[in-house]
Amino acid sequence: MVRTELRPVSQSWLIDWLRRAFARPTPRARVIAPAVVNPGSSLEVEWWIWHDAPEVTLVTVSLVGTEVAHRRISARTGISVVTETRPFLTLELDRQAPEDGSPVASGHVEAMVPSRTIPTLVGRLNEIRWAVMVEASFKTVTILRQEFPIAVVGASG
Amino acid sequence: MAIVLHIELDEGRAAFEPGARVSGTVAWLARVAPAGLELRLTWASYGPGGRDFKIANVISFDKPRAAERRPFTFTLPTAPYSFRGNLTSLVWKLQLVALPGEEKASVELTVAPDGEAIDVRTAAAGG
Repeated sequence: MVRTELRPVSQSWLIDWLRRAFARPTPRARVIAPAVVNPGSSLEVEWWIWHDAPEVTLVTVSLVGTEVAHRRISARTGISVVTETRPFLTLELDRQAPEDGSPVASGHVEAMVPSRTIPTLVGRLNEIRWAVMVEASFKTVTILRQEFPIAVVGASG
Repeated sequence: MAIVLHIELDEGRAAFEPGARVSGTVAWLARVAPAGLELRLTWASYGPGGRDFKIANVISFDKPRAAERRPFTFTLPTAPYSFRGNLTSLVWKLQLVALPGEEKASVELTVAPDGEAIDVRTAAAGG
């Protein structure tokens, strides 16, 4: 599988806002992995995280499969769309406690994508999404949660 | 229009590998010949907000008589898979549709590796 630098889609706005409010630098993550994998195939992931502060005590990197359902609700104020998500698989790929004072942590791991799992599904209301998730925390507080989407596609033959 | 519609799968088999061939026979019985009949290979994903529905393939039976049996063969796509989740699920069906009234008969198919729907409700722990 060809590996490429994956683009992150999200970080919790609340985490971002809190860190900005308290003038804390926001950690940044970078992930190189295949953008497309098959069930049962190997997934090789290289990751880095820069945290510019000695407060990151744990970094975890996981492969996460999530069910996503969008639902329109009407209320007196109008119609809005509510999105529910439910992870169905969290496969921990790496876990590190960065060295004291080190501004960067990194890793290179290889794992197998489960052979019996649901491939990526794109839909208007119901979806299956896959991502490499990088999380950094200080004790029990998450200070970075970044998703790097990948596609899991069924074997074509 | 009263019409009896029936789908019969070869060997009574309803579970398949992605990309496999599905074959069988459709039959119908009506007082007058229907304007048309279609066999639709469909899938739908279900969730709390409703369903996404897709017709993956269609076989049209031309010039149908009032009562008839005809064989059919489809090649299944390689995706999506039949699955059951905590929030969503996906079901494949064959639908025999009489036109123009849209009377239907349907048969549920399982399309997944080993012919067994993937159940992630039991895989939540991460295996």
